[in-house]
Amino acid sequence: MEKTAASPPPPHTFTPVDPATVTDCMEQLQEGYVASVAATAGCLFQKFSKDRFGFDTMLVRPRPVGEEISVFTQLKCTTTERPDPSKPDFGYRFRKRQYFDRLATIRSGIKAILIVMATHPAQARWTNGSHDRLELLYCCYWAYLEGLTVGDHIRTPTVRVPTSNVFDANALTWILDTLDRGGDLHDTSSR
Amino acid sequence: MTHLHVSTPPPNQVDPLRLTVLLETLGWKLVGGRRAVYNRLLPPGDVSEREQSLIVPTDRTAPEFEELMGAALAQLAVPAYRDVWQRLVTSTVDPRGLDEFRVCKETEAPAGLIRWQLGQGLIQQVRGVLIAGAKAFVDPAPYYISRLGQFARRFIDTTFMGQTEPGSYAVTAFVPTHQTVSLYSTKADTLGIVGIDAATTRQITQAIINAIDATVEAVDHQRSTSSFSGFEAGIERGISFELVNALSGITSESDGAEIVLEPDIIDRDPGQLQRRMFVFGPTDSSVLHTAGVRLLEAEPSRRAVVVGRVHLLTKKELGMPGVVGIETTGQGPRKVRAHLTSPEDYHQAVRAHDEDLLVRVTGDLRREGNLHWLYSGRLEGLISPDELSQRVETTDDESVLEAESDDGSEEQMLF
Repeated sequence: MEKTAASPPPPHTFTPVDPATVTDCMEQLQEGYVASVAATAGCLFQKFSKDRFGFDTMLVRPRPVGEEISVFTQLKCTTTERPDPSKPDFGYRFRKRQYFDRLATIRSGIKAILIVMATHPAQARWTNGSHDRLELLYCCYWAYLEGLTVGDHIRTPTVRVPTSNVFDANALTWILDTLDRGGDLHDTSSR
Repeated sequence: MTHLHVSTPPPNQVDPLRLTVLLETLGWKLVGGRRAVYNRLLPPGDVSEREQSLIVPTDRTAPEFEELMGAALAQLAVPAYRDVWQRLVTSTVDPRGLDEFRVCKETEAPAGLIRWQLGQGLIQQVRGVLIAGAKAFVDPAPYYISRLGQFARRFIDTTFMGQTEPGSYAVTAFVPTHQTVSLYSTKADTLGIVGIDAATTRQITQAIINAIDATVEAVDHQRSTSSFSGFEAGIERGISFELVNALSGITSESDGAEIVLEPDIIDRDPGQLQRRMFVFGPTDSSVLHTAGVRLLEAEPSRRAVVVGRVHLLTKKELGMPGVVGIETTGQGPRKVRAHLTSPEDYHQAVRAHDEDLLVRVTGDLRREGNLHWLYSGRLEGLISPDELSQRVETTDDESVLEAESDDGSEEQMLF
């Protein structure tokens, strides 16, 4: 068969459906992922208005008033990173120092986590429906950065995100259980 | 989203428990939260928890308290939550609380607007209501004119004017719940003790409400019996010429008016200061106006003879008799202003002033505020100081009112 003029783009080339909206769509994709995970874990997914708050969402596990538990999340989506599950972690670089600072700040009340999503560079391939599932490429990983420090001069800090921290309902339940009993998310021995 | 252009209260000055109670009072629902960490509230109406629940951090010692409270305030600083915002801003003005008077005048102008003159007048009239009620707290009287003016001024100085509300033209006054207002001019020896020489603003607010309450009853009584007796009967409860005159202004050229008192949301006074709403109809204005005139006449004048030194002469129109200020030497009012009836009498008064003689004037003595006026005055003679045996005579012992000196009063005269 002869090759036609229009050959498919090489893999790992960023191919948006519409370059004007792709950034918003990346956010939407990740929100859909996180909202679905939260729903599976019986949690409320509350989105905050942009720029009003240092965080994008709050995941709430409702209980009688006075006993619910919540976690703030900062959502980041990337098409340039494809974490290798055989490695213990991958690097994620913040575009702004303040995003990192928000997550590293010591909090005594509601804690905050980073959720990094790695997805396919070809927008049209992000999801694929079938009778028994909705496939979604690829994966969200969570990281807890409270108390971490980087040098004052670093304007775009890079953090290590563990590949074992796949963000799914089990992970979210563990996070909320740990916070509920006053535990430390840095201590993963109970997982 | 458009933010209101009002200053944001510093997050660390907002009491989270007060804010929570405030929100609940305004119809927000506490839907979740964690003890000693945060409260989660949902605004009134059909709203989704996924989009609009508000996080109020409750641990003021938490390192992230200011960040979270700042975010909560930003979330509230939108026009939709204006009621919360106004309460919030004012609560930082005086952390002990503010009672709110809201006076709303319905006019033919589109909702939210008012003709300039009416709006300008409304602010003055609301001030008039507050001042008249404050004066009644100290000394209920049919009218005050300038009397107790300095006390009323000190009270007004504690209050704030709030933003008007969309959809209706309203003047809002915020009165602190627990500031102290000295009853007398501030002097070094003033104790400032409530009940002795000072009052709390809450007491004065209560007096204002009592006075409006009595007025509304008197208006109703007049409507059902055509008698104005309710107004005189209500003087003890705070009705005065100034009060009914201000209320008459609020209701004139209107389709009705209402006055609402909202006690501070937190600092309520169970059994005492309650939310009150007074509604006036468009025709109440004339009743109030007539009542005002009658109150001014409530205190009858008395025939009196005044003897004293002429210290002030003024004549507004050529060829007419003027007004003579007499510094009396007797036990009655220290100073009396006499309206003379004839130009010749005035001329004699000028002569008395020039030659340091005393005048003897008869007339109808009436007290108006701090001033004593002698109407229909007739100058009966000039006396040299040596001749004076009896300094102040009266045709009736009781007709000389107790003097109240106020050195500031003279400045209010247009001489």
